[in-house]
Amino acid sequence: MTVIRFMQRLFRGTSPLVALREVLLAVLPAVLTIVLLVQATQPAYRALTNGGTGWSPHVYQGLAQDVLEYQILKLSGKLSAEQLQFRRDIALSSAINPGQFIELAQVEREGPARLSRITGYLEEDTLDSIELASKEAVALNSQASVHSNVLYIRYVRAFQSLQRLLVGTAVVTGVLSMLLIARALVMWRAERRRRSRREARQREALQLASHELRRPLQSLLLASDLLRHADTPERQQHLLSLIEDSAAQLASRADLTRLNDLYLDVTLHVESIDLRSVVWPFAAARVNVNVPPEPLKWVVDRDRLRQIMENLIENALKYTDGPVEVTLDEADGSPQISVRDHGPGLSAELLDMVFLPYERGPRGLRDGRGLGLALVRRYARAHGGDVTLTLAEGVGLLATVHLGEPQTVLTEPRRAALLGRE
Amino acid sequence: MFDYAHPARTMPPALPAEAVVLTIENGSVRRPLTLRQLKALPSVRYRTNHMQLHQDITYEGVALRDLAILGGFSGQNLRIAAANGFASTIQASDYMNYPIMLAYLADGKPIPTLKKGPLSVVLPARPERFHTGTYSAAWVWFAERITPAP
Repeated sequence: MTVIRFMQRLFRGTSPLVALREVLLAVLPAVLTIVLLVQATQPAYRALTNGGTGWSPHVYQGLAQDVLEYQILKLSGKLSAEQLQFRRDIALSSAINPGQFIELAQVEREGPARLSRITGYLEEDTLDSIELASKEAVALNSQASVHSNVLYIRYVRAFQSLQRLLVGTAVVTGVLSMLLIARALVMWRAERRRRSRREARQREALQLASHELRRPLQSLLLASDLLRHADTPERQQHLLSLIEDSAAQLASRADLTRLNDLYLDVTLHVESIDLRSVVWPFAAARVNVNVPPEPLKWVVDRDRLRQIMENLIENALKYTDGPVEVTLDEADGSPQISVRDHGPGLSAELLDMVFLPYERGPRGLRDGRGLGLALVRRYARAHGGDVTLTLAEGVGLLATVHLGEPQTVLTEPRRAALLGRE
Repeated sequence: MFDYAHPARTMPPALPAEAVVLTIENGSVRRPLTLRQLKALPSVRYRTNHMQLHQDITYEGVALRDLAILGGFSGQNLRIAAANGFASTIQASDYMNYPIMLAYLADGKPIPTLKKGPLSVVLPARPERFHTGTYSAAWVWFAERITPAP
């Protein structure tokens, strides 16, 4: 019962098939050892048992002794007829009972002497026949000695074979055990790597979420503060709209149950919208927005596209002091959004690295955690496009986002927006 | 553990011309027994397969334990000698715990010399080891003398 409880605890949460496989693998060396050892010991066991567990020629010696003794006593004439009969029957009791002679057929094959002839001579019971019986019994005993030597060689070979097989068994089970231990180590390391990867992904998701929550939170706080001093109903309404929008963005970016969908294996909630409605609101004092006069409809995830824009524009504003130009247009049948600043740009080395998480722009220029561009690229690719960063003509940096067809496998219908916003 | 066929009977005195079939010796003490005297001792009876004759036979005889008690060396290993010069040692742990007997009847009849009689050591069917090669020498035929093992 203790063993069963231990096994149940060991394999808790494991499928029965996997548990069965692991148990079978665990017992494999023991089973293999038993099978191999049984197989290995069989030849030696057979060699011994077939020969009567250490075959001894004693029974042949005993017969020769009994016959010789009877011959001597018969020749001496000292015993009564009854006593002589007893002595003869002693010898005859063995001679007529081939069953007590182990490996008789093999012994008789070693030479000309035969047990049946001894029986015949004893039954004839004349001086001459008893002399012949004695000679035959001695000869049969010699053949038994020869056969005993043959058996000795057979035993030695059986034991040598046994020795080889035992060593072989030890090697096989040893290697098998080492392989199983190595397998367990590999599995343990793989599991450790998987756990470490899972933890790293969770960390990354939380850091990205934290990064993306910062802007709407700042906006929310700022609008709330301004609302206290708003003097006209129109101003108040505008600020309330801003608060509402920031709260909706916070809700959209902070769904802890969907961190993976939001930041790692991005899942989009797509809808066909006029892209101008996403780009235009970014117009500000230092941000010039250029959009085409006609609607540019495209299937996108509005919130994620907004985050793309926020990150690119925020970077441009943070790392440069001049104006920032945002342009929405169409190239090769698909929309592209470019954000250009007039700052010092980036070295070729940094241009390659900025899309990796935690790589910031020119160090020390501004605070930042280097996550924004990595997320922009992730979202752009989820939309079937990409983002590129190049040095603009003259001065400055040009970030261009190309939008394509969102990957269907990552796409699900847009849910009803939180806070009643569609 | 021992299932006796009959209990001890009054030991008859040996008749003048009666043959001695068994001698129990313990040092200088010598106890000759005729067949009638042997039959007066408590007897055991069971069926077993004779290891050398390869036949199932119901044997009756005196348990070696009782012969050892009679000889005053109970609990010691026994040495049993045969008429043809053969001798074998029986372990005390075997004869004290199992009804190994010195048989004088086979299927209710005296055992002929051709069937390893008149007295033959017989081991019970169980345990199995009594019928393996290790114990083949314990099946002493033509037994005639019992002494404690040296």
